Amino acid sequence: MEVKSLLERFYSGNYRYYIALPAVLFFVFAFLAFVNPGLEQGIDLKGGTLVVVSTKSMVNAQDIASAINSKFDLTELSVIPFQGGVQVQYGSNRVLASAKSDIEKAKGLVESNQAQSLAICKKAVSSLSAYAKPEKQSFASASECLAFAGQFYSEASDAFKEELNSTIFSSIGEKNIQEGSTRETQISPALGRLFWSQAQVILLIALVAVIIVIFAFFRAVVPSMAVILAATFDILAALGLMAVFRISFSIASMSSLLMLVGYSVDTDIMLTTRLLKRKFKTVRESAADSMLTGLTMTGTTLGALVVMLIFSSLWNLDVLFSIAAVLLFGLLGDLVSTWFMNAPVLMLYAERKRRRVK
Amino acid sequence: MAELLKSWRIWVLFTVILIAVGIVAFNGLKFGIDFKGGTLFQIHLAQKVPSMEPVIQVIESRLNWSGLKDVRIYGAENEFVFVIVPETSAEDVKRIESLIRKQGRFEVMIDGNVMLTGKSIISVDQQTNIAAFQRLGDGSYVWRLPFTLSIDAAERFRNLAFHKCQLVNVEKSDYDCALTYFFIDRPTGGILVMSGQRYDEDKSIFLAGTDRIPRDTSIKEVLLNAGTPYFIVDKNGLTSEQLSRLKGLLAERKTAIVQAELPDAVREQLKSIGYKIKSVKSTDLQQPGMQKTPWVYKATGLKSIVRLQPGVTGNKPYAERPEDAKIITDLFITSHESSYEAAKAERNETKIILNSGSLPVAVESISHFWTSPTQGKEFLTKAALIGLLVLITVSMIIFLRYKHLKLSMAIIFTSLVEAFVTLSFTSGLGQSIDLAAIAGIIAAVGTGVDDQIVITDELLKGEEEEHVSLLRRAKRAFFIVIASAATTLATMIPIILFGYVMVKLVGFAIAITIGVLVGVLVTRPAYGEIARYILGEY
Repeated sequence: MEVKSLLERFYSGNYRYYIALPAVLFFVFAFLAFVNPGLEQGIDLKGGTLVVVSTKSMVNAQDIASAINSKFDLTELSVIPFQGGVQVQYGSNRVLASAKSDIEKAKGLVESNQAQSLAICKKAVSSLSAYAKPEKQSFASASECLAFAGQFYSEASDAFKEELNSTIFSSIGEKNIQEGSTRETQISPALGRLFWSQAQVILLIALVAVIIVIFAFFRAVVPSMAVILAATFDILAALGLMAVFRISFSIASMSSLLMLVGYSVDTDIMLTTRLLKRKFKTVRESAADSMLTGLTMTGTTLGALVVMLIFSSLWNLDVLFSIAAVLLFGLLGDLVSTWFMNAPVLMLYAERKRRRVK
Repeated sequence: MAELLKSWRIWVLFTVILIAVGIVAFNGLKFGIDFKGGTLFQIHLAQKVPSMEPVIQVIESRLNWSGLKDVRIYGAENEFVFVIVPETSAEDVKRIESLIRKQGRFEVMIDGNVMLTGKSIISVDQQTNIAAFQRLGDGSYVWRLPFTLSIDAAERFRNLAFHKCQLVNVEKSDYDCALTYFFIDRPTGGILVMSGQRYDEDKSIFLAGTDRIPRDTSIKEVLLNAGTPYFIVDKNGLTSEQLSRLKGLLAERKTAIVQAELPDAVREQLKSIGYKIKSVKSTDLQQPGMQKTPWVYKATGLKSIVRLQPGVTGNKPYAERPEDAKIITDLFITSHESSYEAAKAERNETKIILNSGSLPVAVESISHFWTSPTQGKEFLTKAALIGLLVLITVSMIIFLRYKHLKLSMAIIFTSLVEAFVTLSFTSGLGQSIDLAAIAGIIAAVGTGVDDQIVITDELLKGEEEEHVSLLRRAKRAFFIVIASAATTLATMIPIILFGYVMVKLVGFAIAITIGVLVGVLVTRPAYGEIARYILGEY
């Protein structure tokens, strides 16, 4: 079989150098997820804004969404038309959000580093000027700039809301709008705090439970740690790529991350069992065998996900799209973690163990 | 085939399929709000309560009174309430939100004292000869809602109202009587902030009187009965004396009710010392040609101001002691809206609130996640179509890998059975099928396909490992299957046990757990048998 000989060749050389790839990627993904660009939190965790406009006839959601997207950079925009109106929901405005965090950062620096604080504050003011014209642009000191920036921020955010409303109105068409029927509500993030505290408890218990289960099945430290490390890597890969493709961390993406754990351990457990429990084949042969099985497993899942991605983006099924995307990212990570990290580690471990037995 | 039918594993599979078909045939599938349309409300209470029971009861009774069906309510952490209302229109959402948002504390005040509360009321909207609605000259509507007091409350009312009239003109038998103030959700934990101009304007509206406000009402007395400290600001914002007084009040009062027309700087000042801001517009009831409503009226939750009658206060006929005065049990609450529809909605809402009683604490915030019913249906169709396409893709990949028609069909058939049984059991166990549950089922079936590939590959090793029987190899495959099922369960069970706030995640975890159990106990053993049969060891 041609594929098989190809796979056998994969582990014929000095496979231990393969570990360099996941090692480097580990830091890259961590950087992407937590430093730059960093994960965005979804509406269910951070709150957001909901605008409801009553209309005389049904409107086209696509038109409104693309009109908004061409003008503003909003997180988690969703436009839902209904009989008699349309609902526009979004998490936050990226420009305003980053300006706000800059102002906070500058506030924190005002005591320790005047010059840097002023520079950050100026940057925030200039990015806010996308929505309103600042009265001042040069500042003598950081505290002067901050005093102005605080006020200017609320000015800019009011101006943004007005501009957003007029964009929505003009894409609906003035004639179609029921007069005096626009309603704006803030979605409260109160639950976010509780969600986090629960999520932490769950993650901790789940982690301990997974470790116990894996140890119970393999009764050895190295293979168990390898499986857990691989699952961690996959989640990190998913988080990193989520940050890059701006998929928010929400309850929906949390569920796909947990799903990922299941898929991730599937291949790892298969690999570990085959390498450690099959004694009449060389370790390298077993690894190549396992790779064929493992690639079929991941391949079917990837195929399913690609189909889901294509059609959910075609049909605007946001939730399904983000679930599929997160899983796809994680499984791409799983290819690396299983075959470049887990396999070499286990092969070294198995070869050493067999030598000792002999 | 006869050999295959001897295996108990196959019979377990058949039995389980039959049960699953039975559940769907008799109960149908219970779809959640993602597919049926509906709204999830997340309510955050202003503070923790010792028990969620009364909160849930009040909300439940309010929603029942408003005629909504199949509502699910549950509380969490003593400060959150979740309400799931299926099949809601955008109008419903608005109405429900306004119903839940109100704490519903009804109070009648006199001289700064509480005369009556919601607990004093024994029935609402009983048959009376009072007209429920009345059109006024300016096109606006007055509504009236009669209610009956308990005897105890009526006595208290009589005692507090006793001799609250003064004879001002003996010849005309003209009395000057005290005013009573009817509030819903009087802001006892708040302070008021308004402009000087607003205060003066309100003062003159109260003095002049309108259709709903008796003449010569004093704004000071209104504010005394509201029990809410007030602050008047000029263009320069709050003064330093005002700020220090505000800081002192912060121990008992956390919310600043601010006139919306005031500049943002005032709100920023209040926020910076720790107040929560509630903006109230003063223009809502002031459409052209209509009588003005004072801002204070709206900001304090005042519903009506009623002047006592000498007949009620024991002034005429003159009663020596309170016990001799007349007892009144039937009163009405009245208010005023700009249109008939608004008046009707407001009256109905007040009725529901008086009937259901008040929440033990105020509501801090409500957020809702809404799916329109048409969108939900469309969603379901599209999701099903995607499912079909996924199935075709996976089948193709499996066929390309094994190039064995019967084996590929067995894998697909087993997965379909697993999906159907999981769907049916999940719904049968009371978990509504929404997007999260579907995701869970897909995930479970996906790992199921993975497991079947493992089983198949173990069995196919025939060429190299002829000395190991297919049975032994199947057993080895099951070690992998069970180990991976156990890890999946280890991640899902904590969610079911501890994740009750994350409604959607719990649905997801329950579906996966059922799917994994169905897989390990039923479909995978059966697939092992089928695959062994196809690969020819019988």
